[in-house]
Amino acid sequence: RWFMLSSVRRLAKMAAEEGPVAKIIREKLQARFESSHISVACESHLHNVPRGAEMHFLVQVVSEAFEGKTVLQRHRLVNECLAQELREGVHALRIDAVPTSKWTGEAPIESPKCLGGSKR
Amino acid sequence: SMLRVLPRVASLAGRSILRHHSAAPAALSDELRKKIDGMVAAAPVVVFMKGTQKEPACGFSKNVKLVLDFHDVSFNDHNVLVDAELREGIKAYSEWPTIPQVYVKGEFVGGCDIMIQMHKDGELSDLFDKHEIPNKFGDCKKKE
Repeated sequence: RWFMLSSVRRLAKMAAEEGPVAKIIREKLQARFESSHISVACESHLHNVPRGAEMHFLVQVVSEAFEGKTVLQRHRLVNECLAQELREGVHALRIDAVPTSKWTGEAPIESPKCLGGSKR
Repeated sequence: SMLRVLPRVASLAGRSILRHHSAAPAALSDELRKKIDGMVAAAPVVVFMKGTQKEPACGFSKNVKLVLDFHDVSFNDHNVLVDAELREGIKAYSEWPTIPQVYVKGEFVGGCDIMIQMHKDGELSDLFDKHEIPNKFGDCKKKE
């Protein structure tokens, strides 16, 4: 029972602490979009990958830069900003790119359950 | 600056001579490009995914399949987990870094987030209607 409790606590801690990749992602997004609100969450602990892997992210960015752009255009802007991370190790990127005028403070939709991926 | 606009214009246009300036030219030989051209032209809706539509291997890919099922839209699927060359090639082809990827009438639409957002905003039915793809909630219906 102790082991299970400590695992749960460890997972929660991992989700809460910001790793080096998450930090770089946050900094790049802030610099590029001068955002009024950014949230960066690593979701690798929800997936079939080694502990501490920073491979799956959920980013929410609110910015004037997204005004008047289609959802695809907004996502391409975010992809371009994080192109290096996407080449180097990040292999899933959920994006919520909100123009400032549409921002309601709503959290992004929860990510779907991992089904195992390439290790199935 | 112009240098940043050019790749974006190319990706919006879909096909362009500017494409050879894309980020990962090594992943996309002419042969593979032609093969993917054929794949995206083979059906009105084509999805590059992890796993198959019968057995998705990834939550994001499964969500795309569920959205399309919900709209009663059939699609061709291509499993990138069994084809490493396609897995990297489609990312270069679409200039899109992740899987799943959805094409409608040969045009890149987006991944899981975009499909779900468009579905919520009612834009998917509009998109299918625009391309005359029979769908459950739009004006374009399956012929009996």
